[in-house]
Amino acid sequence: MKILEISLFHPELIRGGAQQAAYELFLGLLQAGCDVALLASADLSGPGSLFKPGAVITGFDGRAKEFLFLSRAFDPVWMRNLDLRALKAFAAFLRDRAPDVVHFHHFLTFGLEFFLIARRTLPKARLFLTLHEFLAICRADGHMIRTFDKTLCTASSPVRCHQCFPDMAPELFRLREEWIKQALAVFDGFIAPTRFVRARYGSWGLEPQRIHVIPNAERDHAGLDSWKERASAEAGRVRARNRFGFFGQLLDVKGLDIVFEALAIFAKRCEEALIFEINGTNLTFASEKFRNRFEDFVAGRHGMPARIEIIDNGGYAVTDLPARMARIDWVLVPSIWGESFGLVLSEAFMFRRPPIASRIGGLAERVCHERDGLLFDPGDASALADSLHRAITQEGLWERLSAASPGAPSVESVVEAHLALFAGESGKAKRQAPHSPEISRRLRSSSSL
Amino acid sequence: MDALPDPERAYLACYPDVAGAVEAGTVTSALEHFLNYGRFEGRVWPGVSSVPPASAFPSVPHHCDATLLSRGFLFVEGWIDDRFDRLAGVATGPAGGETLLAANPHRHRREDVERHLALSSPFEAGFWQLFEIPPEMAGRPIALRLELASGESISVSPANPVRLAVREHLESFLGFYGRRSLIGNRVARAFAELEAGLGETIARMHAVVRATYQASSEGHYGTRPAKPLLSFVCCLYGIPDFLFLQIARFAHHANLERFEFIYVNNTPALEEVLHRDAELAAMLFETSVRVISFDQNTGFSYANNVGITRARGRTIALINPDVFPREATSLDALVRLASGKAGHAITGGKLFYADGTVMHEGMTFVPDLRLSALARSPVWTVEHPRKGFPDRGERKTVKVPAVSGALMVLDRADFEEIGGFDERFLYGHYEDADLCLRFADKGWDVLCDPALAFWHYEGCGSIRREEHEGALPVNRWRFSRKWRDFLSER
Repeated sequence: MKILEISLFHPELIRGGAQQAAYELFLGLLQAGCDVALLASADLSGPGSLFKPGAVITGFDGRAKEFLFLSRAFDPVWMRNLDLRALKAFAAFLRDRAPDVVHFHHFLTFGLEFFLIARRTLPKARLFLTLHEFLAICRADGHMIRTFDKTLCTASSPVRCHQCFPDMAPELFRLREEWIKQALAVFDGFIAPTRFVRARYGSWGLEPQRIHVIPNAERDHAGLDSWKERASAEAGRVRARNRFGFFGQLLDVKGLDIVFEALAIFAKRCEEALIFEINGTNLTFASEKFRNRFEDFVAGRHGMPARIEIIDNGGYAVTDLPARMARIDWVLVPSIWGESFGLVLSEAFMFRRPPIASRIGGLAERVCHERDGLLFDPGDASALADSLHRAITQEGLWERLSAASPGAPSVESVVEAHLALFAGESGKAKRQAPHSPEISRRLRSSSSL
Repeated sequence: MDALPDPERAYLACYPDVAGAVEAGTVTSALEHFLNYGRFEGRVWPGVSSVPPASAFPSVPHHCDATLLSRGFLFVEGWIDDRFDRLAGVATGPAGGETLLAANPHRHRREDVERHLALSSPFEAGFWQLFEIPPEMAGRPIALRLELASGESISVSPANPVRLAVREHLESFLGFYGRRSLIGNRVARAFAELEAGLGETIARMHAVVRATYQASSEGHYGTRPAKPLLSFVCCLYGIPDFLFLQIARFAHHANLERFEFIYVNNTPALEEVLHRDAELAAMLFETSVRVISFDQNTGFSYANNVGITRARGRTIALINPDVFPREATSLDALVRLASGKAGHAITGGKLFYADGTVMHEGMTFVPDLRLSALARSPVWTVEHPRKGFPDRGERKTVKVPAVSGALMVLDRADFEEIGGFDERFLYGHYEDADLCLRFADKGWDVLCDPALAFWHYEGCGSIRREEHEGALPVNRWRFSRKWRDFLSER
């Protein structure tokens, strides 16, 4: 079975959960001996020097199985690709490689036409799309946060969407939905990383039986020697668990604002010292308001006492995770949008750093409150401040939650589930995947959709 | 105060509030107050013998604000405070020459003038006139004269003339006509103005513009079927998005290889984008797409007439860019119509709003009694019965007085025989109803087929500009005038 994985961006060019998950799967498929190639997009927000004159698809850094699609003419309103040459080049690439399975991870930067081209060029191939977020449903970057009051949205409709984008008539949102669904109709199946995503797309109109829940993969970086040595050195050492870390993109929806507020509340209410370490990048994509606040905060312009220590570590690669995780005890995941999966939870779990996460979307599904982490209501800085205090002061809490950490879904099980699905054995996929303790527990504890 | 002339001193003594205003600097003198305010407030200038001399009153305040000139047409606009001596006419001719044109002036409100004159109630101080000018005035300086009811004549300095192409002139005039402010009913006033000659002046201006229409590009993309079963003809204006999306939505429901799509573009700035999207759509959806792009907005009638000349199908579906098939059976119904022998008929569809309620299931003509009384001339309204109501699910094709131009299916031969859309309608309004009445007048059928179920995202498919607002009453007047006898007899 020849497989083509198609990813929004290459994670080595632009960091992000969807591209990381796609790349991990690609590597996992390679590791499993599959005949697989990766086509990752690059656009002009990245290094322009990768754009070869006249080329649409190029190799990537001399790697035989990895290719870049150079996206030049993506229309974000109608999710279209306006470049005829790009469409023709993609069709030619598909004919060249003749994959049996084409697995898309996004339509951003590619355009919905790519789906139609794939179906037309490879009528017998099996086509799949992983639903990494909700851009198909929501024009507001797929976050389903209402633009005018920042409240959470649970369902799209022409009028509701028009309220968020008054310059676009309700009718055009209906047209947007129809056009996107038309393009999605080419797929043999969809993959949702959580049941939450499956349910949301199901209520939007995709047939639930065609949406298969398979978690995102990530290599177990806690298996690296660099981590094992640290872990053993830590063993038996008793100290306050007062070090908190944030990992991820520095965007408004990731909720760092809530942490800033929670720390200010904590500083007033509590006397303990704590350290908060920020690991992230892509601040340039955040709002100006957030950027200013972030910069003030990490520069020490926050008015909090010295016992509240803020450290900005900057961006990180996955290979940095052992070092970064060793510096903290807890992972804060304060997102204010319904994260579809929350790759950072996998990282927290694999290093046995209990998460303190918003009770929302895929986060609420993956974190078992009081068992392997703590949940607080999204946006509730006061509740987060209480959780911080509890995390520092409650004896044995960290040890209990850390010990119950379910780990991350294994790459092997995720690859196996995908292969079963690709082969048309969805029943088998359901039976066999995934094997991670976390998912198995979730499946046992919840009714099916 | 002692230094003031007696009457001024007496006026201020008589009206202490005015004295206070002078002292506060709100008005500069007793005389200024009386001339500008007091005399309208019923105040008396002291002593008969000391009424301010006529020379103290300013001449009738006036100003010419705009002079727009094109080949054959002159538009002047200004204001005059003629409360005490009515403006009876506006005359023009070459400077230093004889008066060649005179007309009863058209009036409108000028709130800026009302503020300037400190008027307490609305007043139509504005005047304007659209002249057709003879060749001997071409290229010569213009003289303008305001004729007052008293017989006095005021020579006015025309504003610096702005020279325009006739198309720009027409657009500019219609923009003014659409936004002008009036006391009273706009439709009634417009009908009176149009009936008094303005309508024919606009028609001649429009005829000059029509003679300048030129296709700037024409391109065909995809494989053209030798004999298309159906030719879609669509006029685009202002918004390019729908060419691609409309074909995409058709492709979702049917194989398009038997169809051809012809788009006529009335926005030069969109030309390149439309050719790009036509090429993309033709490749992606495997159909035939033609784009004809014009150098200006030729209007709905002309654009569709041109589009139909390029069509090769026997059956034509005239379609608006914001109309999309609701379901696969909608296209089946189209194919049935195109395949059968429908006789001489225009068939319209049942059109739906995005929320599923009815947008159109035929149109009727209703006399507007109130407007007719105000305009002293029959005014007809084109109504969409049950617009916005839930669908009743009728399945039977019915005869209706008219159908919307948003979707019309007809034989090309019939369309050609009847002479196509009447191109005298400006931009777009009433030409669909006009076409239906011409069919009816010939004894042909006008039908609504509910199986032709389409979404109509009314108002989303094009942009509206000021000149379209001005064109609306002109088209309504033309339609009402053209069909008043026919409709009254029905």
